[in-house]
Amino acid sequence: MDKVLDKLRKSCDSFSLILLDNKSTMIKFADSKVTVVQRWKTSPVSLLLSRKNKFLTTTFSTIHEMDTNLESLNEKLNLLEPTDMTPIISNNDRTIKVDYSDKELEYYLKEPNKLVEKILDSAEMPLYGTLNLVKIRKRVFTSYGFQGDETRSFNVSYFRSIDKGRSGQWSNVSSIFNESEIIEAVKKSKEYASIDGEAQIEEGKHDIVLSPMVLANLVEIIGLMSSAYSIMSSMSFLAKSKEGDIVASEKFTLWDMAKNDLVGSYNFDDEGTLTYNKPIIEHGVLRTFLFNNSLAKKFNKKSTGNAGWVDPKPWSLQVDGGDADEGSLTDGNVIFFNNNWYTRLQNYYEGQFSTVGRDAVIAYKNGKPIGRVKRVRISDKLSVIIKNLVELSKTTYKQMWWEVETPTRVPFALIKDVMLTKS
Amino acid sequence: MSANVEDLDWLLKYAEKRGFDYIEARHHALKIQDFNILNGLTTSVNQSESAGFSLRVVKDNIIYFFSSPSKEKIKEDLEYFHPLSARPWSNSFGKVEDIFVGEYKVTQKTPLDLVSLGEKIKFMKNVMKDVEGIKISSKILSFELIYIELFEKKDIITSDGASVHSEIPRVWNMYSIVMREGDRSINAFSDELGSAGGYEVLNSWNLQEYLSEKVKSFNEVIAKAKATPSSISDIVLSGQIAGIIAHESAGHPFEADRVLGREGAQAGMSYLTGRDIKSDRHFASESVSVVDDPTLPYSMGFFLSDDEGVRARRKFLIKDGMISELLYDRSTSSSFGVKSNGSVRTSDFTAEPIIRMSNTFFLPSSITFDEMIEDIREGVFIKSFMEWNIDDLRWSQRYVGLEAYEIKQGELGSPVLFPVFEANTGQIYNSIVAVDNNLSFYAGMCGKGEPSQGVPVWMGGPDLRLRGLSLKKLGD
Repeated sequence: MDKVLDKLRKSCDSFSLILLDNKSTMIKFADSKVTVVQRWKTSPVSLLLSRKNKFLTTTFSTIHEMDTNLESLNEKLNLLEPTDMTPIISNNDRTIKVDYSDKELEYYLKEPNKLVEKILDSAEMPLYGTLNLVKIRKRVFTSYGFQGDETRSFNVSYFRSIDKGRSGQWSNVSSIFNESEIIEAVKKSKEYASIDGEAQIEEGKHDIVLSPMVLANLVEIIGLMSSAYSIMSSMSFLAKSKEGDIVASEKFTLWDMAKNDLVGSYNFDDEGTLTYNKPIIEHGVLRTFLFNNSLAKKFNKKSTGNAGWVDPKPWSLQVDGGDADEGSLTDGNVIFFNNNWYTRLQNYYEGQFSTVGRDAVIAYKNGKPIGRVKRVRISDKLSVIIKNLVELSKTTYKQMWWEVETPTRVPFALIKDVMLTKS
Repeated sequence: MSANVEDLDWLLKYAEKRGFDYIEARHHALKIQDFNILNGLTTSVNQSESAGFSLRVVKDNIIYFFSSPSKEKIKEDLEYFHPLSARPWSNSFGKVEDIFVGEYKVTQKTPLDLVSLGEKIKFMKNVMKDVEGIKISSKILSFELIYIELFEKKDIITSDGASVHSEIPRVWNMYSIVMREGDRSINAFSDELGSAGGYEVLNSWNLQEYLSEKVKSFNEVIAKAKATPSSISDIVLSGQIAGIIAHESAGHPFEADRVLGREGAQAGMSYLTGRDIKSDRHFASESVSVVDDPTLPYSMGFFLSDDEGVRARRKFLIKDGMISELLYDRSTSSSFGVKSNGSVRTSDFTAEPIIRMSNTFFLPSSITFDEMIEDIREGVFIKSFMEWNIDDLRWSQRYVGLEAYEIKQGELGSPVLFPVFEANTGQIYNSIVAVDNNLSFYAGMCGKGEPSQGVPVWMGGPDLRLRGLSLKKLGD
């Protein structure tokens, strides 16, 4: 490693080198059976090279490949033109080494058989889903002498129960192995799949309740849109606002969580800046966009520790819980969305989007479930979702699945006057 | 025998000693060069190279997949291997007759590495400068160009004798533009320009002219577009929209693994799940035929052998309105009592081989666009789209038009503002009364699997004429 770092020091003005060491086991289920067992042992390497306001980012499968290509990368770098957007390495020469890995989780990563049996035995309906067990070590070395070394393990599991044309889904993510949380996700998916009956609703504005799975999906998009790169490219509805503006209901507080038990959290970013927790939106007020060093310079701000050499990103996201009991959110006439998928933006600058309801969209009348609503979309603006938010549940849930890639902890949310369409 | 094939042979032989029922070994290398130009600034220049091994084995019908850049680490996993207590989803994992043995390459007239990175960036900056210089009434808030070139090299061997070497270069260009005039704004994002081949494919797109016309057209929309008419007789959808419809509501639901529920918790299932497709075949109007064809030269989804070593061919999903065949792999084909039709692909060495589309499109007819619309008294032609989505059974669909025009007395008229087309698959396919002869293709990256893996595809078709369906206004 020292030889590689020496070579890098000699070859460029500044660099940042990221080494990942990833071991993971994923088991996929369909119809309460195992479709595939996947096992990875990978060690990808990312490198940022910069010289005289020129820069190049690279990724390779191994450090050996990166080393072999270093000379040609430097030649390539020479031929580039300078740009104002060259990433800036933080003036930080600290060394950090932490290990948050969980031995029990590592055991199941190697020997998942018993856990698989328990999951399948706990299914009361045909079960579909994924169990993913991961151990990852991330090391960052920069030209300023920063050395970060962090090891984490985590599991991501999500389950869908499907029976008689009805489905329910729930997900769970944790950096500490907790078998009961995994089994609880199986049971919760079955509870939602058990809700019977069919209800018809008219297209138009409705009061809706979003489960943590749906809110996590929409909040993830808002989190990505709070990147200063999205603001610079006008690919965000927040681009029209500045810090201090009211952009949401006073009940809505969205955090970027770098110090957290969620799996996306790290103590340092890709430029060697130490990370910290921060509200992006606090009680409805826009507090900060997410910056790396070069975008911070462009916006005359300080880095928020969210590099991303080019595009800053949230580590993990959290929406603070509110005052309500979960059950009270559906007390009136509302449409409850347990899950959603295929969220697409029509216009990032306006935040206009639609997303398809899935896995138990339930109509409630006077607080009583009257049946499942089929083929309904939320078709509105992201700003409406966070401005019209009127109640949040006390309890929050950790979510991550196919449609939620950033680990997110969120409550249930009641939102007034949201446009729903059907086909 | 190349070094990669020697390594694969070593892995295969080692796995054979462990007594698996089927073994497939792959070395997969992917070299990507990409950069972004945002508002005249180079914001990223990136080179990525991934290369490594994957080994897929089957024991008692459970599939095990191992992946690492190091063959020794895969061997370690095999040494440690304990089969799961049997609860296999698959019924059987079939041997096939149409095994591919050989190699194929897509030729580059101008090799990608013959043109320097600096020249490529300079070319794109000039394109941006030209386009930004166009005189229009609206303001361009942001303009981003993304250039990607990919070179994919694969070696695959299987325990039943397949041996495949392939090399495919691809060039792909995306853009995003945000424009505003008064209280109207537009946000166009497109990934439609992509082909297999060398640098010559970039030149063939005539980007300056293409993007200049787009910007003028977007300007017309936000400056002049009328509200979507409430009463129309016909909707005409362009080949671009035909393409996304073919991909989303014919391609995906015709993937046999999805029909059988393998993707149930992720990308969902299919409206064909539970249907007897051998006897209950009527699906669409007689004008509709949809194919998936990986053998189209220079297409984004080009391949001659799939990643299970099965020879590729054109598949008719829908033929003259009738369900014809699904997309199969070695596992699902046996469940349907047919042979695999070579529909399996992977994105890189870490990705499990699964059923994927290649180039999915509606087949054209012989009539022209003008002939197709000449008797439409009041209609709307939707040329391009922004937002789209479809439910997880692939039934309930939505497309929001970007460039759209009214049709009056058989001729195109004024632009129409963001018409919303929301209908179900059955309604759409049965309302197609004509298709024209303008077959066009659009690039895309199709996502599926867990972990999600994107593979390059083409989507396409002719212009489609639909009767008896209506449009919504945005916000209604």
